[in-house]
Amino acid sequence: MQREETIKDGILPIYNTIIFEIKMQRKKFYFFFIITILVVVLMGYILVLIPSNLLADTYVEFFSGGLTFIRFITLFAACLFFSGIICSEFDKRTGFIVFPKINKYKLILGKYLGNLVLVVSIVAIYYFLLAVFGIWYYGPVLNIRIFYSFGFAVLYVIMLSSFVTFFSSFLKNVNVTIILTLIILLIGFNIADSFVTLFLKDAFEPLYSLIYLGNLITSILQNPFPNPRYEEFSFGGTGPGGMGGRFTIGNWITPSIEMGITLFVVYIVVFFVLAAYLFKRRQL
Amino acid sequence: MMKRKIKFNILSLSLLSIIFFGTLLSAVSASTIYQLGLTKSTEEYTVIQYDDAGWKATINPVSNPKVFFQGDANVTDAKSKQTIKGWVDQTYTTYDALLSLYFSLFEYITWNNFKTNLTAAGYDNITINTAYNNTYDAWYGLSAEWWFTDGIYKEKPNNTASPIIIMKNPSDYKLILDNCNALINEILNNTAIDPSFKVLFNSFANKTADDFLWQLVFYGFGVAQPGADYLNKVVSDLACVNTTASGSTLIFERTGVTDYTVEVSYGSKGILSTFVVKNVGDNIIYEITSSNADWIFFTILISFIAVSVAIITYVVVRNRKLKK
Repeated sequence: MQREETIKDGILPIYNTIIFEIKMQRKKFYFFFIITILVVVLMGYILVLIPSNLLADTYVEFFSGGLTFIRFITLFAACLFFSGIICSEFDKRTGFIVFPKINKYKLILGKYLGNLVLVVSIVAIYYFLLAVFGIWYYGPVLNIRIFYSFGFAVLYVIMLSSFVTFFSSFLKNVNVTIILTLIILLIGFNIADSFVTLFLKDAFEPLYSLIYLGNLITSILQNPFPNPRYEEFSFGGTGPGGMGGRFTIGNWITPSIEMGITLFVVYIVVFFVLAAYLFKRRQL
Repeated sequence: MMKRKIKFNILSLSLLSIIFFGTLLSAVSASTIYQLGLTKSTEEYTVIQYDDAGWKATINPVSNPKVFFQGDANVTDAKSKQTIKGWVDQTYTTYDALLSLYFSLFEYITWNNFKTNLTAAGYDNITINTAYNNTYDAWYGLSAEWWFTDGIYKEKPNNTASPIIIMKNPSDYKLILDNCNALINEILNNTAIDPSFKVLFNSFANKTADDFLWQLVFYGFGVAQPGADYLNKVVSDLACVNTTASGSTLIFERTGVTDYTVEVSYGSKGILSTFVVKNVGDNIIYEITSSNADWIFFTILISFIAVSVAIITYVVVRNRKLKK
């Protein structure tokens, strides 16, 4: 009985924080909710209205095409929802309270879970609406790989959130955290990936790149799974006598499923451990 | 208050533009006498009934429904499906129509095998289109097709480019048939062409209107809306002898071991809806019907909207109560 009460006392503050955080962030949620609906309606309805724009052959291919913007939405959502988790406590100086009414780790955990619920809800709405449009065009032919894709999308959100939370743990300002994480995720990783593929070609897979890992969300839908996962396009040879130089552009399509899952988990653990460590140090 | 108004206006404008865009697209496709009924969706076909003994006694002792449809079409409860992927406006020349509408597969292969002889004799696409210079406007639809199976469907379709051809003017079928028949007769009477080829070619001269229409049914023949008027016009213009149109159904009177009828119905989308083979005693030997999952989509959509409205109403009412 006493043990049950201890557990309840331990969980209740987290639960209350989750509810409070959800209420606090509801305007952001409404914004992303509307954006999600507009994007899915555009991809799944408006574009399909154009007769010459051919519908994909199968439900899964339709789904894969419709998921084009899921990574943008999750990326922006992660940056906007999770950027203030830790740094806002120090920005507003609540993180320096010596005798807080609630354990600071429970507070951070509650805030994180509250935001995670909202972002995962946005992803779920995206998948749900796309699935509904798919049923309209193809009938009820749900495929297990769509659920795998959703699983990877959730893992991707958790990974991005851990990355943003990590930055939030040592940066001073929410806006700086948003801008910096957006720049790194949107531009930094893409530039790095381009350089790595250009110079090292198939010798080095860009597994360091969080953006590259996100390719698993759509590539898991392909049957068979892409193999080989590295492809090259060559062009040229049109000089005198057809002897011109040849140019080759390489592209890493996707990480393998096993490696992808492993790296998702590794990055999540590493970023959270670092965030917790920096948060603890910051309070000292 | 002002902010709310602006938000409401933006939302209204977005919704209106979506509706306007949809209406505009419908209006574009509705600019002729007959309208296109195709929509991007999936139709599922099920073999409701197959009487093998009846088939063999009536149609052919050594055949089965596989002569008409691919896959396990001779198995009761077998299913197939067709997903309409899109369509474009297409203008056929007589040469295009000859190859893609008039010829059966065997005839097409024969033509291709003797293409060099025909070109040498002056029958290439340029000369044919100059002599028979009509053009025929059509809607050319593309669909993905899963053949009949008594198990579960393969993930990928058996045919990703199955055509649906709908002439905008139903009278064009008559024009195509007349032009192609005249062309074939001209070739057969041409002394410059190898006589051995002519012997082979002779078998498909002078296609009758009934045979032409029957062949088209299995070549992706589609119907514009209103379907009953369109079919009636096709049949009357072609002056079919053994084929009649009744509503949105084509009724073919054919002869195998004994006489039999085939009733082919077309739905609101303009593609095959039911296919029924009956013997002289009007007993059904073979029947295929179609269905779609539109109702599932609308059920989910209505439920989603209802739940959303209920949640919003609940939140708004609760907030108002709390404010009071």
